[in-house]
Amino acid sequence: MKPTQPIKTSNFHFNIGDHVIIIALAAFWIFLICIRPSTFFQLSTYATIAKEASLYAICGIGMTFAIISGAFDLSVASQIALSACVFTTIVSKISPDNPGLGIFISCVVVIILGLLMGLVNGLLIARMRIPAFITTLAMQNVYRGLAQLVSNSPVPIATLGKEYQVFTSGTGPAIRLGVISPNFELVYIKGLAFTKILRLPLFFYIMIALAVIGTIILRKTRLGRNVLAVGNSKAAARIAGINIPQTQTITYVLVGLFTAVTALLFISFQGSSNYGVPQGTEFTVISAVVLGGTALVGGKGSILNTVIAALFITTIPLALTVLGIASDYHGIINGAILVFAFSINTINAYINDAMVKYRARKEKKF
Amino acid sequence: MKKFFAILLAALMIFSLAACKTDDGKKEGLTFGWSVYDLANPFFIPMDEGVKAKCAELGITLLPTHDEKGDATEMVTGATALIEQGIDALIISPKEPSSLSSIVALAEEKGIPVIVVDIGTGGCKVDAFIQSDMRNGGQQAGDYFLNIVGDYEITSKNVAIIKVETSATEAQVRGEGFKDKVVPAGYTVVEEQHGDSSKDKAYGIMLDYIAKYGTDLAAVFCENDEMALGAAAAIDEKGMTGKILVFGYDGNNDAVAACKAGSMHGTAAQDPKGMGAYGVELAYKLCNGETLPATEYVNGDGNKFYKFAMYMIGKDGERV
Amino acid sequence: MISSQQIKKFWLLWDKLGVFVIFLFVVVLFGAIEPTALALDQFISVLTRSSWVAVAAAGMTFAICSGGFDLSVGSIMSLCGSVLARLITNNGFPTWAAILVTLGIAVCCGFINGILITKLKIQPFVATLATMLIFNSVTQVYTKNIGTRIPNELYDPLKWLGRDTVMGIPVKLIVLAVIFVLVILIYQTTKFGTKVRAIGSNEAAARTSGINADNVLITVYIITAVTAALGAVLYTATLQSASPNAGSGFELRAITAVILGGTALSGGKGNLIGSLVGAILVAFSDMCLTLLSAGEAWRVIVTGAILLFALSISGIKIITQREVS
Repeated sequence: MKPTQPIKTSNFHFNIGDHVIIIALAAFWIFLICIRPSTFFQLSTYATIAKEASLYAICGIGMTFAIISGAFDLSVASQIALSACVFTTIVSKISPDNPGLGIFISCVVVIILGLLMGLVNGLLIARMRIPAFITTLAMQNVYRGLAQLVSNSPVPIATLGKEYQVFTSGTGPAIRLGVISPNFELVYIKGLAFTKILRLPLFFYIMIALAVIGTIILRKTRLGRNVLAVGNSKAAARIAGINIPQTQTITYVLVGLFTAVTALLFISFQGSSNYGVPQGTEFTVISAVVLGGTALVGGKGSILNTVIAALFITTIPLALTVLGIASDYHGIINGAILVFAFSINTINAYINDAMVKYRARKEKKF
Repeated sequence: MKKFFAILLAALMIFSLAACKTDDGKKEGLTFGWSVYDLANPFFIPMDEGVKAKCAELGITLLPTHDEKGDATEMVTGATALIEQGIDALIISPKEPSSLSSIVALAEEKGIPVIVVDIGTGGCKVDAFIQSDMRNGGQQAGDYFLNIVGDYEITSKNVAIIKVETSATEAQVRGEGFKDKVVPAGYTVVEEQHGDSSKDKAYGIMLDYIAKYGTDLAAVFCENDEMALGAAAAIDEKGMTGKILVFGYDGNNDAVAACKAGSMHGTAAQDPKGMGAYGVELAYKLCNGETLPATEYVNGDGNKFYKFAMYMIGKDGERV
Repeated sequence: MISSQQIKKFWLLWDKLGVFVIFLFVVVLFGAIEPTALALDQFISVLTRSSWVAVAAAGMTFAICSGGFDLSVGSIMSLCGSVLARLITNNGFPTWAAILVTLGIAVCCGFINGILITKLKIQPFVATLATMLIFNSVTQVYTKNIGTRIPNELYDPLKWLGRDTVMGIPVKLIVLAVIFVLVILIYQTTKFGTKVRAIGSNEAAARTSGINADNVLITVYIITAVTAALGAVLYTATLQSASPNAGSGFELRAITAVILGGTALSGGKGNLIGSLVGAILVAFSDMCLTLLSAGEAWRVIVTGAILLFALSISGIKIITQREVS
C-alpha cells in the first residue's frame, strides 16, 4: 500500500496515453530514417513535410474545436477556394499598382470573410438546428459556387507583378542572414512561402504559434471548457447553464477563422487561385483530427495531437513514393492505416478476451 | 513520463545530426524528375511512355513518375518533392499552371531547368513550353467537318460545342479554332455549354441539345474525347447517329474505336508521346550546356514555344 | 389558432411529401420560363439520366436509415463499372456472367464495409472513408488507369439495357422502377425493414430486444453496395464504357438525394420515394438550365439555391417542432 500522496495542484496534465500519436510519429520517422537515410536523414525533407502539413494542421486546429463539440465542417475546402478567389480578385482589380496596400486589404478581407462563413455555418447549425453534415455539405457547394462566380478562371499572382510575389514565392535572390556555413544560415528570406528560420519553413513556426494559441483557448478559456462540455453531453451542459447555441456558433466561427488563415498560407503556397482547388482537403483535415485521437463523438481532444497527426499523414505519401510503391497502391495503404488506427482498441479487446479464455482453460480452475 | 522524454530526446538528437548533414553526393549521370497531370486520363499515358523511352535512350535516370492525379496541391507538393530529391531537370505537365510559380522559383534556386509540356505556363518564365497547336486542332476539325458534311444528308446550318471546364484556360481555344472555320462557311454556333471533361455530364448536355434542336443540328464539337464519347452515346441512344456528326479532340484509343464504329466522325489527334520525348530532349540539351533549338513562337508568358503539329483522324479511324 | 397536434401532423406529412412540394415548385418555376421543359419526353429523359444516382440512393436510404452512411459507393461504382466493361471486352465473358461477377464483387465490398463497422467497431464515417480509398486504389491497379470502351460487337446485350425501349418506355426506366419497388417492399413489409428502422432509432435498445444488429447492418451495407453496382451497370450500359474514376463525387450525390428526400440523418425513418425525387431534382434543374442556354454562373446559383431552400425548410420544421414539443 502506497502512503498517501499530497494532492497535485498543478494544472499541467500530460498523460502519454492520450498522445499515442506522438509515439506513432516518432516510430514512423525512425523507421524511415533506418530504411532510407538518404532522404530521411535530411533536414530539408522534414522542412518540406512540415510546410505541407502546416496547411492541414492549421485548418485542423479549428476543426478540432468543431469535432470536440460533436460536429464537423465539410465546407472548409470550399471556404479556402472562395477566400483564394476573393484574394486574387481584390489584389488584381482593386489596387494593382499598390501591392503592399493590396495585399494588406486582401488579407483583412479574407479573415473577415472566413469569420462570416463560419458565422453562417454556425447559425444554420446552432440556431436553425440543421444537422452539421447536411449544412456543411450544402454550404460546400454554395461557397464553391460563389468562388466560381467571383473568379471564373485561375489567376496566377505571378502575373500581377514582382512586388506581389513577396507574398508567395519571392523574387530575385534570397536574403540570407546569420550565415554559418554555405549550407546553413539562421534566417533565409525569399517570399512568404520560402522563408525559413533555422532551415525550417516559416509556415511551421506559424503553425506552432497558432497551435499554442488554440490550446490556450481550449484549455484555459471558458469558451474552451464550454466546447468540451457540450461535446461531452449536451444535457449536462444545459443543466450547467451553458448557452449551447452560442457555444456552437462560436465554434464554427473559430473554424472559419483558422480556415481563413489556412487560405492565406495556401495562396502563398500555390501562388494562384482557382475555384476548383483545393478539393477533398476536408477529408484529410478531418482524418488528421480523428487520427490524432479526438473522437468523432466529441467531448475530448487535443490540438497537439491534430498537429502531430497532420505531420504523420503528410509523411505517408512521401514515404510510399520513396519506398518505390506506385501511386496506384497508395489508396490501399492509406485506407489500411485508417482501419488499423481505428480498430486498435477493438482488436486489443479481442486479444485480451482470447487471452483470458486461454488462461482460464489452461488453469482449469472451475 | 520518463519514457516519453527519452523518446523525445532521442528524436531531437537525431534531428540535430540531420541538420548538420549536407546534401548527398549525386549519382553518376543525369537524373530527371517528371510530374504529370493525371495518369487516369488516357491522353497522358503515351506522354509518360515517351518521357520514359527517351530517358532510357539517352541514359538518363528517371525518378518514378509523379502523378498529380488532377490535383493542384498535389502538383505543387509532388514537384517540389522531386526537386528536393536533387534532380538535374524537371519536366512537368501541370494540372494547374497558375500554381507553377513556387515550383519554378525552387528550381531556379537549385539552378535546374524546367520544361513544361502541354497545358500552360501560368505566368511563369520557364525554359521551354511544348504544346500542340490547340487552335489549329480545332481548325482542322472544322475543315474536316466541312469536307465530309456533304456525304451525309444534313441540311441544318447549326452546330453546337461542348467545352471543357473553364479552369482549363488553354484548352478554350479548341472550340474557337472550330468556329474559325465553320462560321465563315455559313454555320451558326447555337450552344456552348461546359461539359467539364465528364462523359456523364456531356451525355446529359447532348440529350438536352437533341431535345432542343432535334435534327436541326449538323454537328457537335467536343473539346476532348471523353466528352465526345458521352455525346456520341446520347446521339446513339436517340437513334440519330449519322444525323448529327460528332468530333472530338485528343485522338485517344476509345475515340478512334468509336470513329471506326461510326459513332464518332473524327478526332483531332495530338502526339503526346512525341511531346513527352521532346521535353526530355530539350532538358538534356540544357543540362549539357547546349542552347535550345530556335523557334519563332513565344507563348503568352514570353516563353520559348515549341508547337507540335496536330493531325486529324477521320471517320474511318485513320489519319486524314 | 392552430393546435400543436395539427402542427405535428403537418410536419409528419412534410417528412413524406416535402421534397415533392419542392420539386413541384421547381417544375412550375421552370415551366413558366421555358414551357418545353414540361414535355413528358423531358421528364423521362431526366428520369433515365438520373437512374444510376437514383438506384444508388435507394440503397443509401437503407444505410442512412440504419443510422450510418456509406461514403464508398462512388468507388464501388468505379470498380464495378470497370470490372463489367473489362470482363466483357478483355476477357470475353458473356454479359450475364459479367453482371453476376460484378454483383458478386459488390457483395464482397459491402461485406467488408459491414465487418469494419460491426466487428471492428469503426464508425461508419471513418470505415467507409477508408474503404473508399482502398476500393479506388484497387480500381486503379486493376485497370492500370486505363478506361475501357466496349466494342460494338459485344455491346448488344448491354445496349438493350442502356439504350433501347420496350413499348416506348426506356428499359432503364423499367429497371429503375423494378428496383425501387423491390426496395420499398423490403423496407415496408419485411421484418428486416423493421429491424433496420429499429436499429436506426436506437441501436442499444434494438440489441437488447434481441435483434442481431450485426447481421442486419452487414446486410444493409451489402444492399447499399449492390445498388451502387446496379447503378454502375446502368451507367456502363448507357455510355458503352467505363473509366477508373467514373464514380467520383457519386457518393455525395447519392447522400444529397437521400437527405433532400426527407430521410433523417439520425436514422429510423426512411423515405424511399423521396430519395428518388431527390435524385431527379438536381438533374431536372440542370436540364432546364441547358435548355435555357444558361451560363455556368446560373447553374451554380440555381443548384445552391435549391439546396439552401430545401435546407431551410428542414430547419423551420425543426424549430417549429421544438416549440411544439
